[in-house]
Amino acid sequence: MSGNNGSDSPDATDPGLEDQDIAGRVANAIPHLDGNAVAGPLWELFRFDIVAAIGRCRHCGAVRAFGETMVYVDAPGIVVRCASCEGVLLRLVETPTRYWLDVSGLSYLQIDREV
Amino acid sequence: MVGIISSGFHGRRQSGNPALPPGQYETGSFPVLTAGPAPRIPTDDWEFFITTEAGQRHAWSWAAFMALPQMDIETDIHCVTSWSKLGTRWRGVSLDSLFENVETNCRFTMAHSYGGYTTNVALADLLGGRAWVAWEFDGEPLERAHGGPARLLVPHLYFWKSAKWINGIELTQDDVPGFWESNGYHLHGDPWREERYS
Ligand SMILES: [Zn+2]
Repeated sequence: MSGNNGSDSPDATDPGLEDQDIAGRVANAIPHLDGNAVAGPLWELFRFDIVAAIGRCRHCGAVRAFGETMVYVDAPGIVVRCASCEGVLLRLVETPTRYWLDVSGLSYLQIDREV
Repeated sequence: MVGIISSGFHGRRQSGNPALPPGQYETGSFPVLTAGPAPRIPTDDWEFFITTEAGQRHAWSWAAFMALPQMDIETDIHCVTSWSKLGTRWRGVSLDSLFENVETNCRFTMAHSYGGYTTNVALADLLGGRAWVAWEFDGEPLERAHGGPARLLVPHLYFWKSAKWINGIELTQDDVPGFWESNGYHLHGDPWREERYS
């Protein structure tokens, strides 16, 4: 992953990148960020701030603010998951020549217009 | 635990090292890359399956899997995000053993993981002593973060093919893109040919 992942949030330098014994941790073992972590690249692509947008999860139907999603950035791409069911809402892969954006896990996004 | 003092996640570029495929650098650490939360699978509940085009289902419990011939593997691994880790040591069961009694005319497979991850691998890449279901790393049971209790190990392909938390292999007639292959990554993923992107 290049560094271009909108890692403005302070959690982005999570030491979870390094090998560590996380098997003993309760609950969610793999560190993840919130929707802010994907705001940068999506702003580059579409020029809207996705964090405040409302999205509907195609898997479980939950309607929630995008900022509440679970974002996995320590991967070959960015994976955004529903905070209710952990289903994949969005995937973004950045290659040297193009972006690949999969939003098939979202049945809609509701984006406020600037007034 | 690996017990290696890391020289840092980014390692050092060693373009002169013939063990490194093009565009790779060596790291002493073992970065955890994952597309989602790590599922927790007690070995009592664990199962490995192979399904065929004829609808046959071969399945192994943890005990049956552990009763198969076990192999020690020393190999280099190469992640598409550009790190390589040389001389890693694993223990596991060869896919040749698992496929021994499987009848199929399919040339392709889809690996399925607990948690929903998928990756497509040609059957030829799984056979011939080049792929394993590995459950031990560096002499210790494979940590959950690295795919424990067991992961696929296909070290001659980029490491996203070595699916963590492996659950089974589905034989397929066609080469169907898996999780990353359907969103920009290469169908095959040979690091020596730098097959990173589609
Ligand atoms: Zn959901």
